[in-house]
Amino acid sequence: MDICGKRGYVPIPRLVNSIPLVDMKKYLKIYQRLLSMNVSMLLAYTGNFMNSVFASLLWCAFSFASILLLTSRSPDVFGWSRDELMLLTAMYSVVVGFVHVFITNNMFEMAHVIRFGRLDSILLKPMDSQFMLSLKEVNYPTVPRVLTGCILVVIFLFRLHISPTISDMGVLILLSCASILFLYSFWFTVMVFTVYYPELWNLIELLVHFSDIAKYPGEMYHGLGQFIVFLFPLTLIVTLPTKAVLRSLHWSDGIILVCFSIGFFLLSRIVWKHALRSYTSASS
Amino acid sequence: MRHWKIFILNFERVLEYRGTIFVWFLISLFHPLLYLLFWVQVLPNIPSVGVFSIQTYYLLFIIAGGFLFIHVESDSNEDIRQGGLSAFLLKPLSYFWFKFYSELPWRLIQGFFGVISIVSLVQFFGVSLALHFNFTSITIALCTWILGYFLMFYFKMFILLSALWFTDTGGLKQLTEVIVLILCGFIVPISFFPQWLKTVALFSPFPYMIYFPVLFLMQGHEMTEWIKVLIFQLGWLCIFIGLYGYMWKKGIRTYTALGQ
Repeated sequence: MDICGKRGYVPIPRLVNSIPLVDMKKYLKIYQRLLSMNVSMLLAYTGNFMNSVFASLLWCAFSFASILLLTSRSPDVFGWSRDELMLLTAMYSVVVGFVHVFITNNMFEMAHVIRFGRLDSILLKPMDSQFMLSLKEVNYPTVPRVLTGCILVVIFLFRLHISPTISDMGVLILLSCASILFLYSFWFTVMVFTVYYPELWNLIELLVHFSDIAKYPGEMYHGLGQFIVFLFPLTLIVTLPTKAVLRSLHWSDGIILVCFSIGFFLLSRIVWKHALRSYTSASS
Repeated sequence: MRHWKIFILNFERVLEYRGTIFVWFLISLFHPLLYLLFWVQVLPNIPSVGVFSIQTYYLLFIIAGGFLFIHVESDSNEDIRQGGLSAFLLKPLSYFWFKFYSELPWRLIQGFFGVISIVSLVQFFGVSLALHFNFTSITIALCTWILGYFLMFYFKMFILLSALWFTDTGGLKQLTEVIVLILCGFIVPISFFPQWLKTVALFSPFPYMIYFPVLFLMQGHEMTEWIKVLIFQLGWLCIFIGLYGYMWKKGIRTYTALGQ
């Protein structure tokens, strides 16, 4: 088992080496193979695929319907117009949709793998266990949701008479990537608790619901005072990329998000390595 | 007596998963608080709607979410797709009641968590609730909660039984989840809906599952309104009972399982 450190801590240089960047070529090749394997599985169950596509589009529609209902009494909320809120919802579909495509199913599977003691088979493979647990499955049926989100972003930018420049797009992509990395790292760090408490396998359900915080403008949470410290990064993950295209982004907020993302990613590595020391299998 | 024993056995089984129940409860706690946060800040800008009642509405939804949001349909994979239904067919109690007693402990415990969290909010954070308590109102509210529970249970059983025809009901589950969330007033109280949607909602069974049970615990209502809602609930329940019997009769003929 890949256990680092004798007293429960992981030295920073060793931690950085343990990030699979050094073997990038190998991991890219493995991931390419995983992508094609997932396509094969998809083609085996086409009925299920159509069903899931429908469901993911439905949740996208639900997000828009809830914003329309919530703003039915007041078209201007927290300083955001209804069209700006719809742009925020479209961005939510893109950012959170990406996470659903590449990460969410793996987190559900991670909970089950740990709960039923099947982690051994992953730990014994000659590759990084966090990589394998986090990226093994690809949820292709959610891709239409992301594409719908992208189309709606363009539509609402058009309605708001905004034509983003290349630098705006660059900042948007950078912040979206940072948001995806943050959400992944946050989820993974929390899911590591299932190693200690396997009965909390449904934590991922809570985390998925928790990401709904990002659906509303960050300004909504200002009234929460000190509680905001805990919620703070989640309130930024969609608001900041949206503000980047609306040109109301403060650069310091962007830096905070990037720092949070990198910090949480490193934290996820540390807690995973540490948690593996407590893992006990079921003689699989 | 056997009903009671099955209920107690299920209750004991559910108590083994205390951590799991608590996480499910946190999920049912989270959304009402999120919507409450939204409305508390938005409503002062909208005249004619009181912040006080919206606070009570969403806080009561925490209990309603725990007690009335039934998830029996999630057993369809295990029971129908993987053939677990065969074992129930051989038992001297109907499948309906087995599912009823396996779901009830989850709902009671989560509803209880909801009550504790609201009492804590009132006691320690000074949150005020606009509740309407007298003997008549409590009796009628209790009736609407019980009828609402049965309505939701039957509705979720339809989705569970639909697996007898479709095998994979993932899409249907998601579709009904979205419809229930909107039309039971979970996102926005039905009185805030645009008129056309309000009319659609009131003629559907969904507000009678959660919205009215929550509403009747709040400030005073006319007796005629109570009677109207109770009649609608009983009407929908009769339709659901008939439909369930028909679905079970037809569906069980299509059911096949191997090696049980």
